[in-house]
Amino acid sequence: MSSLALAPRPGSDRPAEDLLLRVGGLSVEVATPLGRIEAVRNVSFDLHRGEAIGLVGESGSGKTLTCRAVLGVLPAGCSIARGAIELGGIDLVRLGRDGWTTIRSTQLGAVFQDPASYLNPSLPVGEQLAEVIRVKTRSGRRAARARALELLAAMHLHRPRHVYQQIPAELSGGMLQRVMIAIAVACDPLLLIADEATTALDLTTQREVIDLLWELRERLGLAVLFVSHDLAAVAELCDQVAVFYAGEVVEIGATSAVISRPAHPYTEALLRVGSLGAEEHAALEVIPGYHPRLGEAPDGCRFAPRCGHRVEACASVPPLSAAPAGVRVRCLRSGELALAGAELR
Amino acid sequence: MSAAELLEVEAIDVHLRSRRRASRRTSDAHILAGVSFSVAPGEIVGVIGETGSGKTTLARTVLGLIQPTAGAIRFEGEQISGIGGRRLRSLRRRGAVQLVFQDPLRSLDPDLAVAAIIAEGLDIRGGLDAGERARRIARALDLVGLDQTVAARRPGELSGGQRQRVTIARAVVMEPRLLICDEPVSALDASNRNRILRLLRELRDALGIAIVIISHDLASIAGVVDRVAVLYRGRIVEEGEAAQLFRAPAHPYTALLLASAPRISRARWRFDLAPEQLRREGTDAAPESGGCVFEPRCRFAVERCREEEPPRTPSTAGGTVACHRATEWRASLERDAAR
Repeated sequence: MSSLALAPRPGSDRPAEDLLLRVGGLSVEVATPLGRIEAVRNVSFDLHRGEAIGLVGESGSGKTLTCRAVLGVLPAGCSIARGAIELGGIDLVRLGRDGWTTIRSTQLGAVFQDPASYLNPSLPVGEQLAEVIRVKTRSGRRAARARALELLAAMHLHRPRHVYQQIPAELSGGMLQRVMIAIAVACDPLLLIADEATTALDLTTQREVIDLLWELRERLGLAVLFVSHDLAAVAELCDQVAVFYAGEVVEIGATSAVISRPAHPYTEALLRVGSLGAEEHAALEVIPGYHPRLGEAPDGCRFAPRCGHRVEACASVPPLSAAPAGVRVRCLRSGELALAGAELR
Repeated sequence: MSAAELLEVEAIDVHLRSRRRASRRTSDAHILAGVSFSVAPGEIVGVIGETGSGKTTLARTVLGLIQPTAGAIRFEGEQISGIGGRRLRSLRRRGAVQLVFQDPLRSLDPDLAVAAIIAEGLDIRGGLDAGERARRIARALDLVGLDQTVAARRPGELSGGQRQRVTIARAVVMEPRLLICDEPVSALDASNRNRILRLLRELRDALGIAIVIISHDLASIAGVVDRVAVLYRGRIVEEGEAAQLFRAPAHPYTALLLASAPRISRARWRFDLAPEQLRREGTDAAPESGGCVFEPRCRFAVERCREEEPPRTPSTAGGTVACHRATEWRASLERDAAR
């Protein structure tokens, strides 16, 4: 255990090519009264050490199921039908219960949307953090308490000794999320999974949590898998983005490339309707139609019914193919379309 | 405030009356303090506030569900706060003020068909024959852009966006003059959010309904509001015309909100300050009583801010602002930058 709360991990200066997480051809099925339906289809992405990738999409697009598959906590009725998930060379798809315990105490941390529901409401948050440290690092009570206080301070919680003694109801949503992040990074993980972790927070707090995740990336070399329905929040934190639609990745690549030159009409539409800009907002643009419900996606291109660039050929399934700047896109017409991006910061 | 206003909220206070007296400590549990604002007919006003700012309490107070301990609320010139019994019942039955709930899945009865949900208020008011009742339901569905076939379905069979429309249909069927929407879009993705905001604007344009939109997210409602009131710890710290307030916020808290909004590109959000320039690090202290409520988080606070609560004064943006340093903080930032 490091003596400094946020001492850089040895080896975090290793080259970025250092592959941490590989998701290959992942398909997740959901059991429904109508039979098994593929809710996530053929999703692939790589995440290197210290990198952050954002999975963005509407509810039902498969981003959360993908993230839960990586965490090994798929909801009841959901299962991995095909594909591989490897974390640091370990096959997570075929991992047994003991294996998961080890992985979760050494390599993986996670934070979710509603921090209060993951904490015991009647115990001081510091004790809960110290208990996690004690169990995961097999340290003594005194050492765990000291480490917990260090971590609370590292999360920029003001007066950590005071916060340590407080129960969840005495803390704000933003403070609770900081406690959850402290718990998630307590075991010095390589990968932090944040599933809509900033969604329910107030604007100023959301920004503070994103800034904290940035800092953890820089100081710990932590890789982040960030799931959000808000493309702008993803753009604030992630160097890579995967745009999900109806269970598939429709566009994936460097965030700057995807945002400044979207290759998929859906990405362009997201940018158009997306957060921001008082004057531009007055237009209140919408994407025509609705995201298909589970099992109701059309054959061929799943976005076609809502796409202004649709042609007859879109009735066949588009492959994920190469676009400029290393971006991959699932659109037959991508090369011939002039799609509008956003000006970069 | 003039008589032409539809809703006038004048200097209302709301205290939390604690039922449990376990601790003898008398806490200053002001949920709202001296809150004043008004809504003109056909106007869309945004009330922005974070968790605990009192924005939902404000909505409930306007609806008469909570009684203010001081101040007055007038609707169409008539006092509606502090009334009870028959007058309150008749006001509610008329349904001129309607609330659109935050969470459609939890506020809609899962066992009722959409038609029955929409007609609930009409049925309580009574006096309609079956044909007129059906016509009103059909018109409400039409107004919110829902297909007539939705009438026979149950909430569980609808998408999130459709459910939110049902909650709006349930309100507009009463032919209100004022809609109060509590976080109408916070659970929706960008496209559906814009769809609902568009719908609210269309309802205003078509029916002349005034609308109060309560939200924690200033950026997401920026495109639809005419005026904005920013609530912080039970006080309105700034209020003004929307475009002006977004361009040149007079209160450091409004500026912090604008700077914190995530943005894809600088070009689309013309706000030039970063949150780091506006945040004060490392404080979670509650404000001193008697001082400015934002003081513990304010980078620009001076001694006076701890001692004296700032009054609401005219702002350079044409609205009002409650800040001792309203005319100075920006200049002090520019001085820092020049150094």
